[in-house]
Amino acid sequence: MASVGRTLFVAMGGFWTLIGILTGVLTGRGIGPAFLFVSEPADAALFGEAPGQILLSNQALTTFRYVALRALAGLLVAAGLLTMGLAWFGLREARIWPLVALTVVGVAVLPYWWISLAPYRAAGIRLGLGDIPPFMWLPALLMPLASVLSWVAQIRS
Amino acid sequence: MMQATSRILFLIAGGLWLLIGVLTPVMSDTAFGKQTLFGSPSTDTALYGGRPEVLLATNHQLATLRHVILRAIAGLLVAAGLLTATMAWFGLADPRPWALGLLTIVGLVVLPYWWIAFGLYRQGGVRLALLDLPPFMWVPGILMPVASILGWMARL
Repeated sequence: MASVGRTLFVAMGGFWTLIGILTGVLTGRGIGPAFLFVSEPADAALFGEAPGQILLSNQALTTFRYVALRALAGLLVAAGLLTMGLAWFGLREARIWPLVALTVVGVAVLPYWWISLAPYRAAGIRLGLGDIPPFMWLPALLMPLASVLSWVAQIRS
Repeated sequence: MMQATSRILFLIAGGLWLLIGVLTPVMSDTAFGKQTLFGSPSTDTALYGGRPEVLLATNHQLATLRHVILRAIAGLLVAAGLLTATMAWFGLADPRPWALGLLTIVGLVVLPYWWIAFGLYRQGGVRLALLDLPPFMWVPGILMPVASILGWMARL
């Protein structure tokens, strides 16, 4: 159980890192212009136009998105590397603080994802799991699971 | 001495990320928070061609996207801040090479992202001073490499 928990934490850290790297590369090309932050249909419903159209017509928004998504990408890489490294090295040692830190982080980000997506809820837009950015929903599911598995293993040992 | 200084600098950097992550949702929609979009009031005005508070009042799509993305950034600041501060406090207490190595890598790897994030300001001919950048970028951008050098020197 301990190794499954550890593997899940490492995978989630790696996932954040990967998304951070890809965000820096793909935001301006490929599928990047198809959405503003969540999925194309949800963004179109909230912002009133197709994301691709908005990115052509609203220069201020396009500029802000460019700047903010690259900052977000840098923080994804930072948080991802720290999560991955702490899980890989820290959880191998018989100390409690790495597991406490990873557990707190997995839970602490959840209210932020909730308030981040509040404008969609306020507009009555139903967000499915596939609408929410994967860097939010996947670790939101797997990090608490990793925490539970790791704590159970910790208590048993 | 060098090791303790290194640890304190990493703690400050992590604590700052955490603090800004906590304050961002509270402050970003206040009159003070609306003075900037991402940089400083003067550089944002130069880049966007209008004062941020005016743009946010008139461009609702921009205001909405800013609300969404800044809160996501705040969550990641809290995550990165908590992990950095924890690793500095516990991992560097009886120094582990992996903790110092990890903090060193993180302190360096974010720098190209801050550079490309502000690429449009440079392309637009907007001169950026250190204080025009968000503190969550420039303070750890300076402190973490210094902390890394001190930490590795103490190990040698």
